[in-house]
Amino acid sequence: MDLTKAISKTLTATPERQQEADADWAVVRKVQAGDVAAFDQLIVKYRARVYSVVYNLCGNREDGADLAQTTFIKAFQSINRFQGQSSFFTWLYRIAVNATLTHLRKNRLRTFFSFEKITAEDRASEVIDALTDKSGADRELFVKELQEKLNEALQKLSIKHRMVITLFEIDGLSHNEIAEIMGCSVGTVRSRLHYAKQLLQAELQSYLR
Amino acid sequence: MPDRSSEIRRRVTLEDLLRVKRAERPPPEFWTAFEGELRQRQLAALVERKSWWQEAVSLAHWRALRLPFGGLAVLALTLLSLHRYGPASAPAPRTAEAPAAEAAVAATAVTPPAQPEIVALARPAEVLAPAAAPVAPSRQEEPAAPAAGAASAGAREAAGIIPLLGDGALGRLAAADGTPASVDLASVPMVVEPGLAAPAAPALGFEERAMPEMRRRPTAEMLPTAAAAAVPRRARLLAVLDSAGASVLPEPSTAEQVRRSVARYLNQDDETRSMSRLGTAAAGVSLVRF
Repeated sequence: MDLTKAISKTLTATPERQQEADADWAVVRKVQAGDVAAFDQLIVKYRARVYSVVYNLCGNREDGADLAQTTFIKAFQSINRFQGQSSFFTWLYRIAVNATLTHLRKNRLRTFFSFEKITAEDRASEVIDALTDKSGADRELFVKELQEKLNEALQKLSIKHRMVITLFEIDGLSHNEIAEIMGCSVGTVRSRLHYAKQLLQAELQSYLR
Repeated sequence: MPDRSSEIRRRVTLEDLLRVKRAERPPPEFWTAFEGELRQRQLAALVERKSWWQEAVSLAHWRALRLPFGGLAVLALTLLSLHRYGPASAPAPRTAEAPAAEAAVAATAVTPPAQPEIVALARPAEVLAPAAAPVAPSRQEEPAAPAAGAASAGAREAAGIIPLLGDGALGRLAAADGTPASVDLASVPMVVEPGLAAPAAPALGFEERAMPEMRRRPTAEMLPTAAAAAVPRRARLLAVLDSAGASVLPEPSTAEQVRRSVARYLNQDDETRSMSRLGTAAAGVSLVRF
């Protein structure tokens, strides 16, 4: 591994991320050695995160599922070329992002939206409670309307800005990781993030208090 | 809890809204279907065979092969374009009769320049003029065949007609029965035309397509002289052909066709018509004919 890369990785990665990357690398080496079943561990570990990124980028669950599967198949087919120069999840995310970009560019005119249900997460419920006093069917209707508005605002962003917002705010990646995935500088990531947030705030002004 | 909720109620940020988006997750049964589909696609990808063009594309991405492939492609294109659009001066395949004709030409080529009586031969590119006339270099290098003396006197006489008539007649002779000019002309008898041989000789030593300008001038100079001697010459030449052609030429029909061609040519006043058969117009050379 390149010394500079290794140093920067050590400095930027949190200990949890580093442990995770080491564990992934061990599984990848098993797969490379011929233990194909070991790849299932990686699928189970990352399927939700990959799906979340792809789903939020393309805005519908059908394409999200299809692209997530494509991502894992591509990763499986080219896993012998993975040399461990970056962490496995960065490499996997890069495949997912590239596949989604290709899909979005191909189907620019064919867009439709379908939403997953919001899970009973404490923080999300609190936010919804803060936004509305309604309950029952009215609350469901409000949540659906909020989802549509959020999705609409995200789709108004360019693909690059949408990607930065998705990876940072929804998936919780660091600036460095996003920069590595997108192949740009950290400064560019920050700049895009700032601009995207400004646009989203303008779009969702009615919900912000 | 109510305190926290009231705090959020006071201030909902963009991050809070995006947290709602983060909470959108598929139900557990979704992953069962997901895994099943993924397994199917994984197996399909394992047994899927690449089509030939995908293989070719993957080969083209191999850097080591780029230079050789590129070089081969350029070489093939160059050869193809040379073959297709190259100069028309490529030597024609030689026929079995060609050595005999060359022998006859070589024998006459040693004739002293004082004698204007000619000489003759086959196709324009292969004709050897007398010593005074320009000679195609490729022919000069070829040795005289031992069969030089074998050419009959009748054939040499008929061969002598050709330079006097010009290339139009030569072409007609060749085209009359579809056989190559060199085959017929090798056995055509030679005739001596003292008045016309000298001006006509320089015109015969050049390739038609390569040097049209040099050919055109002596032919034009030859025309007034030829017109004066046209009537007696015609009679004499036809008589020679009638007597020699039947015995020398391989088939009577060919001899008859030669006789008719010569007669047609002698009746013709327009010299440019005979030139046009070889792709030579009055104003220039046509490169389109093959």
